[in-house]
Amino acid sequence: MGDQLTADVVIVGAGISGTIMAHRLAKGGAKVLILESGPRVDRQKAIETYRGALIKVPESPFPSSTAAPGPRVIDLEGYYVQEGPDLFKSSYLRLVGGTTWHWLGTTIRLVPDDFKMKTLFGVGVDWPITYDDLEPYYAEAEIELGVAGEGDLGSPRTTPYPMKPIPLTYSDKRIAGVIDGLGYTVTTTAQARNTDTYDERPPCCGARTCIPICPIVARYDASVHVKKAEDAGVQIVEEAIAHFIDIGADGRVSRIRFKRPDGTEHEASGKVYVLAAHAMETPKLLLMSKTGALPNGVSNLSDQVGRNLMDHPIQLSWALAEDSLAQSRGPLSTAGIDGTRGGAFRNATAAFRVEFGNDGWTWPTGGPMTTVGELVKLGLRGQALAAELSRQSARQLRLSSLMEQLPDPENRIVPAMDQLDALGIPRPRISYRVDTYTRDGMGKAIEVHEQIFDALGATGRKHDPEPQGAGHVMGTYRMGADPATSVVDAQCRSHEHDNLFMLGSGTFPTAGTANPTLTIVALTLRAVAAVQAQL
Amino acid sequence: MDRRGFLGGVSALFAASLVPACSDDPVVDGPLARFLSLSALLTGFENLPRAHGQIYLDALRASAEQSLALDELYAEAGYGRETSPGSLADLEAKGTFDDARLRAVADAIILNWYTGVYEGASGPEVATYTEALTWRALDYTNPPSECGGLTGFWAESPEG
Repeated sequence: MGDQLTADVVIVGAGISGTIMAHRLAKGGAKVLILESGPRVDRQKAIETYRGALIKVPESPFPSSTAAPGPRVIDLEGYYVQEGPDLFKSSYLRLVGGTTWHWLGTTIRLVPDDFKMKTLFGVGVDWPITYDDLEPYYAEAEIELGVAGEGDLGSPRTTPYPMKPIPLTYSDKRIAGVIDGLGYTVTTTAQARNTDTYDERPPCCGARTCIPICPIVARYDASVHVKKAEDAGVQIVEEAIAHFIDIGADGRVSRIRFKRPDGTEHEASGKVYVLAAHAMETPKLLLMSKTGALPNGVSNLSDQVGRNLMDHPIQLSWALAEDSLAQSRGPLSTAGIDGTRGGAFRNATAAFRVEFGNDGWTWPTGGPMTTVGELVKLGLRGQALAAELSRQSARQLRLSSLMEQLPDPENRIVPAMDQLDALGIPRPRISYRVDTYTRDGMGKAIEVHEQIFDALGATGRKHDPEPQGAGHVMGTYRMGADPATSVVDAQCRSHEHDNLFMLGSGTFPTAGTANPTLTIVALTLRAVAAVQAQL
Repeated sequence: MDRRGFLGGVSALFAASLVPACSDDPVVDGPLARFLSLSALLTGFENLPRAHGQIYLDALRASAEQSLALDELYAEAGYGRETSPGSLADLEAKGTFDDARLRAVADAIILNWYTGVYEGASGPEVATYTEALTWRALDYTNPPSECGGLTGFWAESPEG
C-alpha cells in the first residue's frame, strides 16, 4: 500500500492557478495538498542550463522528467501524438511553478465583447459571465501578480494599475513615430513585470530572457505563489503524477490516485478536489478516469472534455528596418496595437493583437547568432564584421499578431491509450485545424504588418506561411450555463461532481485575443469562495 | 529594497558570470598565444578569453584537415617569422581567403568566437553564451540573461 495523503482540499498542479488557490484557501484555514507531476526548479541552475544549451527554446533551462514528460517546441511529436491536419505548436511545463516559468508576462484583460461572441457576432459561444462580473477579480489579479500598465486597452477599469507602465523601448517609440497617421494607436502592454520594487521583488533590469526565465523575478512567475502557499502551510508534493480520479457512489470525487517516478501507486483524498494541471493534462486526466459507470470519463456527460482546443495562432512577420531601432534591447515586448482586437468584422474574421518584438529576429531566424553566419559567408571579418553585425541586428524587427481562434469540437485532445509514457500513462493525442476564420484574420494581420514595414522603409520582409503557437492552450473543459454543452459552471465547478473544480484556461469558452494568464488568475480568485463553500 | 539595494543584489547574483574568463597576464608565447593573436586579427576583438581560446584551438586540432589548414594560415599570416604577424587587410589583399581550406578554417575560428559554439567530438557544443563576441559586437546592448541596467534604460537611443 502506498501513501494515503489527506487534506481538506487536494489540488492537482502547482502552477499559477493551483498555487494561488492553495494560498488563498490555506490563509482561510484549510489544510491543502498539491500534487505536482514535475520536479522543482533551481533558478540559478536553470539560467546556467539555458546559457549552456545549444538550442535555446522556451524549455531549454528546465529539468526534464521521464516520469512526467511534456511537449517541446523543437520536438512537437516527441510527446504529443499529432493527428493533424495542422501541427499543434504550443507547449507547457510540468514543473513546480508550471508554465509561468517561461511566460512572457503579458497581462491584458479580455475585452467585454469577448464574453458575448455568439450574441454579438454569431460565432463561437457566449461565456456564462460578463466582463463586468469578472472586472473586480481582474483588479485583484493585477495586485496579486504585480501588473504595470496604463490605459484601459479596451477593457474598462475601476482601479488603477498597481505599478507605473513599463517604459517603451527606443524601437517602440520609433515605430509609434512613423506609423502615426495610419490609424493605429501604439499602446503600452500591461505586464506582470515590475517597474518598481513590488512584493519584495526588484524592478526589471532588461535581461531580456523573460522567455524562458527571468533571472531576478522582476517578471512574475508562480514560484512566488509556490513560496507563499508553502509559507501558509500548503503541502506541495512534487513528482506525484495524478492518473485517476475516483468517483464515489454519491457522485462526488472520493480520491485521486497518483504514481511516483518509481511506478509505485499512492492516493490522496479530501473534501474538495481542484484540477489545475493545464488545459492539456487536466482533460487527459478526466478522460483517463473511465469506469463502467462513467464510460466517457469524469465530468464528461456533455462529451465536451478535451474538445474545443484553442490557441492564439500567431502570424509571425519580420523585416529589416531602414534605420536603427536599437533592437535586442529591453524586455522582449513592451508595446503593440490593441485596436485590432475588436470590431464588427468578428462575424467573419478573427480579431488579433499586434505585438512588437524587442528581440530582433531571435524567434524567426535565430538572429543575431545566425546573422553572424550569413555575414561570414559574405566574406566579412574583423571589425567590418562586428560593425555590420551590430548595424543589421539593430534593424531586425519582429511583429507577431496573436489571432483569435473559435471553439471547434473537432479540435481536441484525448489520451492516446496506445502511446504510453514511461509510467504507462497515455500521451496526449491531438487533432487540430486552424480554420478560415483565423487564417483570413492572419491575412488582415499581414496587411497591418506590411503597413508598419512600409512606414519603416523595411526590406527583406517575410511572413510565415503557417501559424506559430502562442503557448496559450485553452477551451478543453469549458465553462457554461448549460451542462449539456459545457463542463464546468461559472464558478469553475464541475456540472456533475459537486466537490470537483477545474481551473486554468481550459475553462475559457472562447479565446479572445488576450494572453490568458490574467484571466486564469481572475477566474481562480473568483472561484475561491465557491471552493470554500464546499468545505 | 531600494534601487541601490537591488543593484547590489543583482551584482552579487551575477558576480560569477561577470568575471571575464580572460586574464590580465601578458600573453605568453606558445600555441595558445599564437591562436589568440590570430583570433584577434580575424575577429576584430582583443582581450579574448584564454579559456575559450583553448577550447576552440583544441577542437580545431582534433581535426587533421583543419589542423593542417590552421598551420598554413599561421604561415600565411607571418607567424613564426622574424617579422610581426600581418594584418587582416594584408591577408585579404594577398588573397589568403581565396584558398577554400584557409577560408574554411578562418571562418570556423570567427564563428567559434562570435557564437561561443564549437565542433566537439560528437557535435556542436557551447563554450560560452554571454561572452560570445556577438554581444560585444552589439555594443549598445547587454548579453541576454544578464542585467542591462536600471528599468527603462532601453527607452533612450543607444547613441545618447
